[in-house]
Amino acid sequence: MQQITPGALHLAMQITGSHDDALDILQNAVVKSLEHRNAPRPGEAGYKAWFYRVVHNLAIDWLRRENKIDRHADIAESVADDDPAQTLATAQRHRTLHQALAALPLVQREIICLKDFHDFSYAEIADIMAIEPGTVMSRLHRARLALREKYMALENTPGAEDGL
Amino acid sequence: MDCKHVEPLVSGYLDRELTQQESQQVRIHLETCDSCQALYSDLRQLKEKTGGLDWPLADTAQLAAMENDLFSRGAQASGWLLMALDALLLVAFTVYDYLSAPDVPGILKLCFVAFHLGLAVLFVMVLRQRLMTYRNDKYRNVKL
Repeated sequence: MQQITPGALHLAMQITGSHDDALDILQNAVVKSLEHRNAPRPGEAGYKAWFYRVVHNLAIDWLRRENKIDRHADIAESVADDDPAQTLATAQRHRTLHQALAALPLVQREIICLKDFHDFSYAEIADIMAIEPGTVMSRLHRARLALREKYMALENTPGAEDGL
Repeated sequence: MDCKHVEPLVSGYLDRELTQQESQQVRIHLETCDSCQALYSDLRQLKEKTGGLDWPLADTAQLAAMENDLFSRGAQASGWLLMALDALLLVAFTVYDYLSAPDVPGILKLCFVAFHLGLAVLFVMVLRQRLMTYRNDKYRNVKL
């Protein structure tokens, strides 16, 4: 359980854009995992994907219920401020990538994060997002093309660094 | 396979999610097609960068939002303006009070004026230099 909660917290934050709400969602997910009789147990095969699916569902429910606006842009504003060890160029690239991710629709941002940040397989992503396994590759590809477009547009703005 | 068929498979190839046969077909195509190779290269770099992104797990996101909202910026500007006006009034009153005191000798008043005038000139010079540096600083909008 302790091994997957940091990643699950990241996922909740990537969906909600809020650290405090992500913590609430994670807490509810842990409660659900303990209450659910048929849920896989920690350490069992499939537990990680199951737990991420619970976090995904709770985060989406929370967004719908609270009618919250997407606050991912706030992350793009604050990122890299805490790490003075990063070089200026790296910090700028991270900020640009966060801004490009923030400009994507939630579904596209989530599928990119699940694959490229959390490193789930296509089958696991289909399970977490409750979509057909056959559609993961095409959705992910469209999301990456959209991210490339946004990223390049931001990179080409005056004052930005060149290249991917 | 042509570009139209290969392009949608590039992400699957990148993630090693294709069958062996599909993977081989894509690899052969990429060796001969510059545009698909460029797409593959771009997506691979984006994938690596996204994988290495930092996600702030503290309240920095909310803090940045709070600092940048209209009310906070307005309150900050009003606070500075009030403080500056108040300081000016206090200085003006002190100077007037000192200079109009009948028991202070004229030479002392002259020294007082010269000393504070010198301080004011130095302050304005430093302020001017700071403003010029700020105006010419191309990194002033860069947050580290």
